[in-house]
Amino acid sequence: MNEQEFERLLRICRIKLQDAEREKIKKDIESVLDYFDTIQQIDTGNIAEQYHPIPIDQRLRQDSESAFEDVDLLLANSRTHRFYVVGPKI
Amino acid sequence: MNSIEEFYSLDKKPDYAEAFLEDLSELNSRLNAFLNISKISGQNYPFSVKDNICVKNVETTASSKILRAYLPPFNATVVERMLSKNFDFLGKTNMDEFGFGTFGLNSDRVPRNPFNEDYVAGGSSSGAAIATAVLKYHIAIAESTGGSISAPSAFCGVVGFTPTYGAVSRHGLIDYANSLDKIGLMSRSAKDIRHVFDIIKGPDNYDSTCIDIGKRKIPESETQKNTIFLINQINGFLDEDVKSHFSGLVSKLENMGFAIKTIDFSLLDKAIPTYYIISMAEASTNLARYTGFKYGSKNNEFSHDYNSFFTESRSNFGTEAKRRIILGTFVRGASVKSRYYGKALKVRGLLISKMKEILKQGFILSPTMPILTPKIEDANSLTPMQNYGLDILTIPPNLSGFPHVSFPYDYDKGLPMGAQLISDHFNDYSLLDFVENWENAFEYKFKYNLGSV
Repeated sequence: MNEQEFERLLRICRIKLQDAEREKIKKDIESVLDYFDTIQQIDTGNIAEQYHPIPIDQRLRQDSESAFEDVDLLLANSRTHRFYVVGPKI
Repeated sequence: MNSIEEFYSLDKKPDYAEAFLEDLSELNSRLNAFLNISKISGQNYPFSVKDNICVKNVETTASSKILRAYLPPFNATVVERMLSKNFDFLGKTNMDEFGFGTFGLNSDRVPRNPFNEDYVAGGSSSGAAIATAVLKYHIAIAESTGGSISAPSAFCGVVGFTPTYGAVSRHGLIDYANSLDKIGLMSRSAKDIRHVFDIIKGPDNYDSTCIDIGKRKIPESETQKNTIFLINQINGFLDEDVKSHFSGLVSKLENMGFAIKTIDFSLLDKAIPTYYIISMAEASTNLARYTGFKYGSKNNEFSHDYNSFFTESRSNFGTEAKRRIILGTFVRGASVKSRYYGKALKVRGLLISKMKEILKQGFILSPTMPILTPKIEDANSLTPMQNYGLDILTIPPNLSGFPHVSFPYDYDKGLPMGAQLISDHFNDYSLLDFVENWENAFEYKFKYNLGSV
């Protein structure tokens, strides 16, 4: 991974690294990706991609309204204005 | 009698709870098992909760700075079920940040092994294992993604049970990797685990991936219950000391009447890269929700544009979390997705079918960890690759969702050693039967027994 690709990746992740951390992580990433590549040798033939370790039925619940009692506690985790959560501008 | 029944038959002094909490608080200042401790009555059996599981109005951070001060407005289903059966919530236990670690060292407060404080307690459910090893009457609600229950259980000499994927509701769990996360238990006996597993398992309307293992269970044959397979390829990864202790365990099991067989499993070492690709890919999406205004620590620089606000807030992640977000984002990239993530999902399918062939005929047994308990300073100097490699024995059942249990089987220079037994999907209780049987002939040793009367 060259410098430009690494920089682009950091931008996508919204991760900012200090110099020392940056050098360390960039160096580790090369060796980890080489290691990841070792699975290319495995012949997976027609095996399907396994998204869950066991088959899970698609269960759906009734789409119905219900009250959440602790609204104050819910909002206490954010800075709020009236009953709106305050966030950065987009 | 299990320890839960024993606890209720104790003749406790009026100041039992107060004295207990004082002792625990003092010991905790050295071992860092708990991130917070709650007041308990002393009348009900106590349970602890790993810090990535929500307890209403109790700070829940998954050991991350980014979630500091987060107060969940609800209880996780597993917590709700424990409280409904009159267990007392004792506190939140320490862990590697978001579960990212094998030794517990990715936490601001370094957890220490209760048998010798210079050594690691294991991770990521480090606090749960320490608490179990120091408290006479207590059960820990822990969580495993790639070995986070087995590893610390082995290093702290307790029983660590990871059920079949989906057996316990994950509603209220702070996700690391959705297709791998499993809530499980730690205790000083298989009997207590059976008692509490019966309470917490089972379908939940709040988690569509939660299943009824009883409905899926296929009856086991006597041969399956009495046969233990040892994987040939494991030998190449074990320390000599571990090999020698483990062969002692195998002889004992042979004497107990188990048929011991060896078998090849050539894909063993490929489970690690497969696991890390899937877990990092999933972690990188799960951690995208931490933006600095919705949960936990706040970035109040609202004049910044969204991207700089988001980027600034995320500097609160630790180094390992950043590494996993970066790698996980990379392997999901459009140009390499089929090469890494897609391929890993296929290899997982292959690994499951190969392991299932073996598990239909019996258990798989191995040491839980390939090394003796390392000193904290030695574990700190490992590279990420060396670290990931040490998960070789705990990753295969976790990646494949097979139930497994780590149980103490020996001690080396005063430090406990654990072995890990794996069973087929939905055969969770066969593991507890096995450990209960093993416990009849094994004497647990603990340095602390807080809560004794």
